[in-house]
Order: sequence, then structure tokens, then C-alpha cells
Amino acid sequence: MIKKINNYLIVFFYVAACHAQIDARFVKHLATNKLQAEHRAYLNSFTVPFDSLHYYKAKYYLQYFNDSLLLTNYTQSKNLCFNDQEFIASASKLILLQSKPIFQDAWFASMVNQENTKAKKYFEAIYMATTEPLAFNEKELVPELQKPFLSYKKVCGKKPVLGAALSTVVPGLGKWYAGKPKSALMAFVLNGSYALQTWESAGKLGIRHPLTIINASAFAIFYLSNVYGGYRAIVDLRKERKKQFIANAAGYYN
Amino acid sequence: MCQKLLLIFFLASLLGRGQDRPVNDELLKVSFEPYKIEKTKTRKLLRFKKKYAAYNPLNYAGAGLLYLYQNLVSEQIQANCSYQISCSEYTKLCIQHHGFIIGTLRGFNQLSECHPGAIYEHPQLFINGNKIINGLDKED
Repeated sequence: MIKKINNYLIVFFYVAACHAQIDARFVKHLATNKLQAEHRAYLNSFTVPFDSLHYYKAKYYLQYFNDSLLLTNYTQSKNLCFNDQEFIASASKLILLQSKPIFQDAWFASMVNQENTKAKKYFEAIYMATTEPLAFNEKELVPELQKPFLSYKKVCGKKPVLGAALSTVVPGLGKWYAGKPKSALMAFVLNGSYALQTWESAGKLGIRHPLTIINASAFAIFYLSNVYGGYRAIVDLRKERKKQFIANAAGYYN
Repeated sequence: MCQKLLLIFFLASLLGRGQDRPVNDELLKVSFEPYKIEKTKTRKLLRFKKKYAAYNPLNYAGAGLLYLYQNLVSEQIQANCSYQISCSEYTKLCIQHHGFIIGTLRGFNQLSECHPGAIYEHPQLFINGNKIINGLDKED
């Protein structure tokens, strides 16, 4: 009886081996040698979709980053993908760094019901820290990441409109408020000198003189750009510090 | 019994053969496909994001002035910008992406921040050598 079962098992494994459709070692070779065209052609040669094909496709779209296709394939082979912690970590890192917020939300929402692994916990904390920095407690992070997070949190507490308003009152003050004292000084000196020049030429040559008009136009452009810059300084600094924090966090995980 | 097993093996091997696909031919075709020489696209002065922006003469005037500055003045004065995308190129890109008013304001804003001390006001990730990385974002 046991002999019979053994024979049937051998046949079963043989048939299963015949059915193994993806050559994992070949895919690894294509991925490590960065043969993108061959990699894509090989994966696209399978006409019938199945779990492991979606998993390998998700890995392909992670290597040659395409967030929407990565998410599509990931959702179709979630359990397989989630067993590969390296995949989860590098996908989370790239999505946090390069994707739009809508993809980030979809990625982390898809992880909610999954098992609590090290990569999941770590990157969920980073995601929470970047989406709601003011409500997030920095002590939940490792000490090495607290400093970049605090510098990001500091900028998030500032209001871009207030920056623009301050720049309207005193040129450069908005940039000072954002945390760019050198640029603030530069903007103040630049605007001040153009304003003085315009004032002087208007007094000596008259308002309708071409030189006065040129000076006034230059002052107007620099003044308006300084007001806009007061607003942009905070918005841009937020993005930059967020990316720096995520890059630090991803580097620390590796 | 033995005959039955042999029959199953034979059928299984047939099944296995059925899975063979002409993958190799496809891969060979992809690998040894002759390199195609792409046709050179017609060069446009500006590539606008929005269609109607192409009908605004101010955009062309601004881009034209910047083109003149880049080709005539910039080389003569040996301008050395603190940013990876120079202020004039950045202004041109901003005009393409955001239109004349916002583009000019952004460009002049960068110009007023273009000084050696600006490098200390950006995070390390945005510094490349002694230049500040200032690409236009995806969200922009």
C-alpha cells in the first residue's frame, strides 16, 4: 500500500514539475544582468495569468519602477509578495520616495490586514510620520531618525501664506521665517537696492524717464517674486526635508 | 500495476511537453533585434503642457530673451550658477510648465536665491558636488 502511494507521489511531483511555468533562476539572471527587454518579453510570454507570474511582474515593475503597474500586480499576488520582506521594504521605500500620495495611500492600505513583520512596522511608522508629522511622536522612531524628522516637523508647523504675507511687509522676511536666513538677507539687499535706485532715478530724472521705468520694472519683478518666494520657500522646504527624512529612514533600514 | 504507472508517466510527459512555448524564439528576437535609429524629432522652441499656452506670445518672448541670454551673454560673463539646472534654464522650464507669470516669478525667485550660501540651506540629499539639485517635481 505504501509502495503504491510512493509511486503515485513520484508521479504527482513529476507532473507538478512539468507544470512549473516560470523558471525562477532564469528570471533572477535577467534581473541581475538588467536585461530589461528580455525580462519583459519573458514575463509577457505567459498568456494565462497566475499568482507567481503576478509576483514576478511586481518584482519587474519594482526594478524598473512603475508604481501603478507594481500596485496592480502586487494586489493580485499579495500573499506571495508579502512573504518576500526584501520586496516589501524596497517597494515601500521607492513608493514613499517617488510616488504620488494617492499611490502611497493605496500601498499602505493594502498592508493593513497582513501579518505584522519588521518591514511592515518600520515603513508604516515612516508613512505615518510623513503624512501626519505634527501628530506623530518622534520617540516612536529610532534615535538616528529623530533629528531629520524634527527638522521636517518644524517646517510643517509653518504656514506658506504667512511666509508670503511677511515677505510683502519686509522683503526676505518670509524666507527668514521659512528658515533660510542667507537667502532672506540676499532678497532684502536686492529689493532694497532696486527700490533705492528707482526712488533716486524718479527723483532726479522724473517718473516718465525710460531709466526710471526700467528700474521700476526690475524692482516690481523682484518684489513680486520675493512675495511668491516667501510662499514657495516653505512649500519646497517641506518637500525637501520630507524626502531627506525618507531617504535617511530607508538607508537606516538597509 | 507497472503498466499503469508507465502509462501515467507517458501521459504526464506529454502534458509537460504541452507546456513548452516558443519563449526562446521571442527572447532571441528581442535580444538580437537590429538597433533602430530613431527619427530626429522636429525641434520646438518650447514644449507646453497646456495647449492654449502655445498661443501666448509672451511665452515666446520670454523664452526668446532667455535663449539670447544663454547663447550670447551667459558665455561672455562666465556665469556660474549655484543650481544644477541654471537659473535661465529653470525659468524657461517653469514658463513651459506653469505659464508666463508663475514661470517668471519662480525663475526670478531662484535668481534671488542664487548665491554661494544657498547650498547650506538645503538638505544633503539635494546637493550634488557644489550644486543644488532643483528639478521640477512630478507634482508640479
